[in-house]
Amino acid sequence: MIIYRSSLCQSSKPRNSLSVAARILHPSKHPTIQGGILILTTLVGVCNYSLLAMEHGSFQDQSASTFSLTDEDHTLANSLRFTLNQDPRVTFCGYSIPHPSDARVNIRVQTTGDPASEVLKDACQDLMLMCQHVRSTFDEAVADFKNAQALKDMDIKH
Amino acid sequence: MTKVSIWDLPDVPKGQLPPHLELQRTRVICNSDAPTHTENIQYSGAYASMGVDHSLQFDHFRKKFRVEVIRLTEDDMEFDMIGIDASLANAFRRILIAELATMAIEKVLIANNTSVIQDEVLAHRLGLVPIKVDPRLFDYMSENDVPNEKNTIVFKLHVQCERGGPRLTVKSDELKWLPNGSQFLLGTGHSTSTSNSTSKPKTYTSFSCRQDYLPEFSNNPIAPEHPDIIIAKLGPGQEIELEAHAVKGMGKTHAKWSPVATAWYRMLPEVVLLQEVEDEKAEELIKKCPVNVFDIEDIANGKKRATVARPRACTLCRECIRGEGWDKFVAIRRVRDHFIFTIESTGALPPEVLFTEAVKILEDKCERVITELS
Repeated sequence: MIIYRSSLCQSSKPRNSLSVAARILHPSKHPTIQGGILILTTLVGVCNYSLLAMEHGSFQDQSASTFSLTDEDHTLANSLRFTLNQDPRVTFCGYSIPHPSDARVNIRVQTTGDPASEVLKDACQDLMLMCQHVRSTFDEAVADFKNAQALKDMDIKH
Repeated sequence: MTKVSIWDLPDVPKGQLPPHLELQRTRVICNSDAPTHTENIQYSGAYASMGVDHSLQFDHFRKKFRVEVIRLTEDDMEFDMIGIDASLANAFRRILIAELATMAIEKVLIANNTSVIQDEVLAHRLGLVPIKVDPRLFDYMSENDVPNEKNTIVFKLHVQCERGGPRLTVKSDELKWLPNGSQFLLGTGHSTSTSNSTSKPKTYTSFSCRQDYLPEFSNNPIAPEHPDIIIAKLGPGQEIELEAHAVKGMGKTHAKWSPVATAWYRMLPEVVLLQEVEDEKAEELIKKCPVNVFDIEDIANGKKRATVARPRACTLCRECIRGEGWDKFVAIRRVRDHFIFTIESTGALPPEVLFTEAVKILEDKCERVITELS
């Protein structure tokens, strides 16, 4: 389980899941969610302080959902939008930060039929793989550069 | 114009984009008035009608992605990141600035300050002093934690300017590390408990052992990164006595916890001569460029020709395409997936370590989302 520094949370009080949900799902504020049945899955089992991620969608059609992630911003959401857009199963995706003083992003995913949560998970997986590759390539490049530098320094001493 | 039957027109080539679209996809075009085609095309099906798959294949990314280190010193580095989308490059930049941990002075206990600098200004100045210590060796201090040797570094600063002497400049080397924690005793309310001589007197920290006995600090004592940062100036007879407690934090809480002085990237400039620029025209072009991007080379029979010698130096000032007709000769573009990344570290960690840590943080974020969705 991930425990966040309390100083980063806006409030250290336990958040009421229903009130949070009501705020996000209010139709006038959130026109992308149609009036159908809304499910609310608090995806974290035991977490006293904050709901870290929520999925808003309907039972009938799981191919379109909005994911609400707390304590995230453009850093993750924009990267995820990129990897989601690269996935041919995605028909639409986008993200928004409802209010700048709320540490929260909403990521909207609509797919050609697969469950949106699965597609989002795959996008995260893709992003992780890309990061790992970036890291290994970078480490290699730095090691090469350092070796070349060391060789150069030795030549000077000769 | 004569009528041509649609069936006589050549087919749109399948499998590859026509040159003008390929240019728009891979370059930002800088015109003399404004840049065009600045937005990235991310959608995988954007070119489906032309039979081009725009989705990103991981193998393809692995093949194309390259890193080239240009410069690497103790506290700054420049490298080229080629074959990556701007959203990822920007994510790394944002994490470097705002989400990497460092140690910075957070609490300042002032026992005496008779200098002209107010307590709060002094505390703020102290907070911005970079400290040379690996933050990975420390824990975050949350609200109900007591300051201990795993989450707090204590510095002492006690300077006095002699009466009748010259004025004194207090620099950051006066911040002395107290490996045993705070030396200020807690208020009188607790003094009764200190009367039993066996227990340690209660101070503002509760260290269970000395920090300099820990193996990671025994050979490299903790100190400010630079010894010559001016903290305050004292007149004769003035004195500052304080204790500064540094804790772990992140740049998004306050910029003093940012481990980089700055981290930034720019896209690689591309300068293209659309047609030969010769003789006087070439001389004129070289004079137009303030950063010497162009060179002149001699070709046969005493003729001269302009060449693009240093495209990286281009600042995209667009001086060379100003004036009538110049945009027919020169085109300035930026390569969309080639980033010249610069990291300037404040000294706590070397820049290459900062970058790998930043990438790890993005990985952790993904992992967090995956675990929470399943």
